Amino acid sequence: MVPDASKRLVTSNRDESAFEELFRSHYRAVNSYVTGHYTGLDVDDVVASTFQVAWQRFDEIDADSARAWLIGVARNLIRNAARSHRRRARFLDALVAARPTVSVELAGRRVSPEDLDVLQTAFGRLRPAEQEILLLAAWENLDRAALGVVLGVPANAATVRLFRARQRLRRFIAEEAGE
Amino acid sequence: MSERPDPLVILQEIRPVADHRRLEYGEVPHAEALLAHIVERDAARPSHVLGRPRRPLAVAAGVVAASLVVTSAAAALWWQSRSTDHRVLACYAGASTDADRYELQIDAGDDPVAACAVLWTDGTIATAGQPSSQVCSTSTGTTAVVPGDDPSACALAGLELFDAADGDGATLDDQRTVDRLSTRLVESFVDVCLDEQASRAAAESVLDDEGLDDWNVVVAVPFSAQRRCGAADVDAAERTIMIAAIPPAPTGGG
Repeated sequence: MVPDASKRLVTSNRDESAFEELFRSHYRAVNSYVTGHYTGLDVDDVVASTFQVAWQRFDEIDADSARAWLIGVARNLIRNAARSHRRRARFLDALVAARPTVSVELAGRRVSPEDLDVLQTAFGRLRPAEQEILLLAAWENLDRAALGVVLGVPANAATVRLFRARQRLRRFIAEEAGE
Repeated sequence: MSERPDPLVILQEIRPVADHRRLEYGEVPHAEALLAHIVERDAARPSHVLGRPRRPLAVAAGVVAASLVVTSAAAALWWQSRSTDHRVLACYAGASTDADRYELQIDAGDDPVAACAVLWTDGTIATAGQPSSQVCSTSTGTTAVVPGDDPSACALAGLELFDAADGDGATLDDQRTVDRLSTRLVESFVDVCLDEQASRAAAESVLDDEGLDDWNVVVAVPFSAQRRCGAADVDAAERTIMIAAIPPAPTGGG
């Protein structure tokens, strides 16, 4: 290790106009991510902190993956704040709230309340990291490169994790359904 | 089961309402106040009359400081390029999103706090020695060290507390192993298209090099005519390198 020689100060030539464009383009998306995935949070506080970090690290943001980068920062802020009192992702609550009393049509198929119960139970058996990557893919419509940005892993690793989570969810659904 | 819809599609169907519209000026007053607060300018001034971007003094000073270390950094990078078992460490001068950040290249087994301590004695940040510090992670997984007496220092700097036991219950040593494996796997699989046999061989070679005899290599996604290139990931809990077959990259790699 040669810290004396390799240290470098990371600075920003921050451009207010460009930052404003970033802010206006993604303010609502960050809001939607926080409100969609978590309950019991001060959404404004998370969003404000996210964009404060973005302003400080503006030079690090690639325009093509800005939304994913911002979601990644918000995610870390939430995880950090929630570590001692871990909050549950909103999904299970949403499923309960959305549970119809009769069959509904989802994805072009009839889905019964029992099917949703099975999905809820199976989803609950997944590891938190598996639940998270499935919801990021499904709700935020992030491709594998963007998933990698959010999770801080290479795109290929995100692909493998998503595949594996999907595979395990299918298996748990089959088990819960007695198939 | 064949009648059952794809669960990922159902998840998409029940997603919360997402609003990704662009925020226009004045639409959300508290958002305008936030933007103004962040860039320290008058909230009432519309974006189209923004003047030349201002550069904060602290940033200008930082640019000067950065230029002073460019030459030595280039020499260091050459030296470090000979070693493949290193990673970036971010050392923060304060527990704040405004704090200056310095990056060091360290070996995977080095103590992050001890590595940053040099900057607190050689005058880069200070000369009186390193204060109590916390180890955090950036959004991209880079390890960071922030001064502070308790873990909230990470949050104050907009970072995540580095938790070696997070996720799969890995120890710090396990985490370092995973870091090393991940780095090695990226080096082995990036920009090439390895078939199943070559992918397995590459993964096993990495495990051999690390002396991890009790780890496995599993093909999680089967290879096919379309999916003929391997990608790899580490599952620390299962002590497994998972290989997934993916299509070749659109340009190169095929």
